[in-house]
Amino acid sequence: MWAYIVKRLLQAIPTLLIISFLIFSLLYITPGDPIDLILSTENLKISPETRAAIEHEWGLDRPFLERYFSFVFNAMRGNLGKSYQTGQDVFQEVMARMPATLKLTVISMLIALLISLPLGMLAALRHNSFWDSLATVLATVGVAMPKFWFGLMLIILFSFKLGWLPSIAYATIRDDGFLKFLRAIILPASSLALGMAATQTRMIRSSMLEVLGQDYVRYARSKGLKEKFVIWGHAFKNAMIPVITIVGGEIGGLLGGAVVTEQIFSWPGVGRLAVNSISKRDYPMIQGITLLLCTVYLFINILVDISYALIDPRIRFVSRKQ
Amino acid sequence: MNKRSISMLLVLVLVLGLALTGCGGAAPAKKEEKVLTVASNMNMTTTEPWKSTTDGDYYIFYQIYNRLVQTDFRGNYYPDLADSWECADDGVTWTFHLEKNFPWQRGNDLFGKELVQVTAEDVKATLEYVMNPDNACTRLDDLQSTIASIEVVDDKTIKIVTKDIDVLLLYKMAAICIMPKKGIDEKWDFASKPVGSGAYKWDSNIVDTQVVLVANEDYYIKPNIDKVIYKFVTETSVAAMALANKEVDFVTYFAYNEMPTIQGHDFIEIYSGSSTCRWAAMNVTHELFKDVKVRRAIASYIDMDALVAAVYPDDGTGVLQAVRAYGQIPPENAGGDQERMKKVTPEYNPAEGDKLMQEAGWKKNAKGIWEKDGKTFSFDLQVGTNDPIRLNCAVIIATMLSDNGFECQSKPVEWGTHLSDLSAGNCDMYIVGGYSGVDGPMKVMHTDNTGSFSPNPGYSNPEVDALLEQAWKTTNDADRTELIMQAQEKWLYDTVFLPMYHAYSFQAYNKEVVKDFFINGCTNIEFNLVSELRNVDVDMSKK
Repeated sequence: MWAYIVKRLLQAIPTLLIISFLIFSLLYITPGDPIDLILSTENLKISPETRAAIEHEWGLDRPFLERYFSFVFNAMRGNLGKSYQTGQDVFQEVMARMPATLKLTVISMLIALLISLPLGMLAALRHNSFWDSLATVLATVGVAMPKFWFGLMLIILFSFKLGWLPSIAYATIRDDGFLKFLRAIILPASSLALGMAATQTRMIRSSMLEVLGQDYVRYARSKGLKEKFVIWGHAFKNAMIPVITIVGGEIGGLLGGAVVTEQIFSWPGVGRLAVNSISKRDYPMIQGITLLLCTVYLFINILVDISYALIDPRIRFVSRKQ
Repeated sequence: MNKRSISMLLVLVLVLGLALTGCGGAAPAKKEEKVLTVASNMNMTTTEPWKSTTDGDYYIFYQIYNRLVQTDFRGNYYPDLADSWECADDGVTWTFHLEKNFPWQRGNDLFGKELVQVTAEDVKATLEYVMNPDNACTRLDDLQSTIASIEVVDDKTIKIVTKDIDVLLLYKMAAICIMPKKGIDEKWDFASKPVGSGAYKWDSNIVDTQVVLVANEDYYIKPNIDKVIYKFVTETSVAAMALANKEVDFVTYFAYNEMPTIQGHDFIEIYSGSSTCRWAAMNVTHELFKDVKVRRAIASYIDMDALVAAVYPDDGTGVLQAVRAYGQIPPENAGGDQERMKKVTPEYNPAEGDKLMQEAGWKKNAKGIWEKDGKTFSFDLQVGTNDPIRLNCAVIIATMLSDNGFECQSKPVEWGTHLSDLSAGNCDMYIVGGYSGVDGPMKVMHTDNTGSFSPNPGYSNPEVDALLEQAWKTTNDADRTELIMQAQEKWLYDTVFLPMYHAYSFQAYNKEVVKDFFINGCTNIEFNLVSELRNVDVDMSKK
């Protein structure tokens, strides 16, 4: 197992290098001048001399490859540079927003799983029943409904019409208490959770249906095992393997920032920072965010692969044989 | 447990209960804290004013720091640190008088409990700090290009000598937040602990979420509001709902299309602030648009009144959203005489357009497209995707021109790309806007400002340049306005820029809660909340 983990970690290094090169190249060819977008405003004039000085300070006057290798070299030492816009350390700026993104990720995933697990299981176990139809409808609606629209609808209903929840709020358990935190996060997390719950429900349903039709499940039933042992002991774990892949990918995506949701709910996460940085062509910030998130994504993928091995003994066996 | 034990336990519980609930009876009732909650449409990008270029930052900075003077968008100046100022007959020597006592904010590690007054030395130190290239201040060029010397006459008087006559000196001073010399000398960490002399002190900051300011008890006027909370709400629809829901008291940018959200909420008042011009322009560096006859012909094919009516339909509310523009300068500003500009603006007259095109050597081919030397008149109308109204304008203009023999299509591009294309001259015809400040005409019309973040990729007319240069050295307001209007007339005749409309921006607030905001010429959120002009108050009972 350890050999497998080390191997996967080593594989991540060239992947990250390729990703970093892609990010750097794409930014390089993207039109838009960060100096114009960050420093120039209608009531501010920048002379050519100052422009040249800023270009030099930001390293924009250096050749592409020199800038790239400097970025990689500094990144390997943990230095992602300073934001053009704020002058602050990129790593610190991202980390300052990461708790908000993490909270949103965890709570929305919990809500999604609370909906999708029972509903997906019920739909599979009561195939072609009311529950199955309900799961299908939810899955269709959840996937089709745009997040920004659903978020706005939640605000209109629960904040604007009913006045139950705040439309703009950010709270932490430590500073504001659990209740206030819950009131602040419930709308953005629910807005995110619906789409995920829909995908997961569909996946759990189809995966369970497939497993329930397998020989080993029929054999378990023919042995006279109680249905709950058949389901939870034999079918469930095997059905979860594709579901874990989906959930892992969704967590990775969420850590990249739920851009639209964060924007609508004024949630101070990484996604909002990324959007702002892109619109201002804040290269160090965009590079830093993307690289950090790619790293997280890769680690989550490794964790997902490890969890396969924990769930399915066959995968462990194969990896040991290899 | 016997009765005695139970009695003892009861007494103990009572005593503890009294102690915990604080039923001493002597404590006076605490005065209710007055809180103003503002929804700002822009995140705070930096806590150092000399590094910022964002309006959203300045909403906050101007409450923490004082400037020498305050200004509105019309170019009127109001006292701040300086009660009065004058320019000598030479036109270059400015004297500012700091008569009132402004103490630096206390309760921080920089000043502790010591009451220290702002002096002319602080002003000088700040200006020199901004002018030092090593400090990379965003206003460096503004000051460096104009200030020749700074002299402290006494604690309350400072003299600034400019290199040449600079009628925009006050305008530039209104953007400089004065910081304590002690802080500059001691390299105080202003980024994490801002210290100014304003009516409100920095209290706390949650990144991308909110900034909290508290009243400065030493300010020369006692602030009516105890605490100001700026919440960053970038989604305009959510800001409107938060206002209607009474979660916030003030919205710094109210998108007019959110009107339905607030209808029926009588406590909300919308305030129309400044207007800015939006125009379509032709890139004169391109061969197609070099001939003034062609440009005037294109203007003749565009029914601008119909365009404005289409993108700003009358919604029956009576709120003025936009007015047809005939010049670049907004009607409220000096030089914004629309009637005078109308006389030089080509009227909508397709027949006249045909005539001008033919005079310029263009003929319609079999398909009805203008053609010259075997080439059809084909071009893109580029527009940034940041504004849905401008996108609509581009479609309408492209349609009007296509109907009149041009191969023209609307080309929406991302805002950053749009700006880059403009600077590099990589566009044919384009839509842009802004530059409503007092220096707007110079930035839009003068040759020197082509390129870097200018809406002008190549227009140059020496006569316009000369008039503008003369205007910017003319201290008499009326004379300067006349020169600017003359320059604008020539600029309009050249028909490189086709003014479409002046669009108004809106702020919205809860008028039952927020008191004394828009008074005495205070027209926007950037004014000090507490000054001789106003001392904004809130009625907490209405929240």
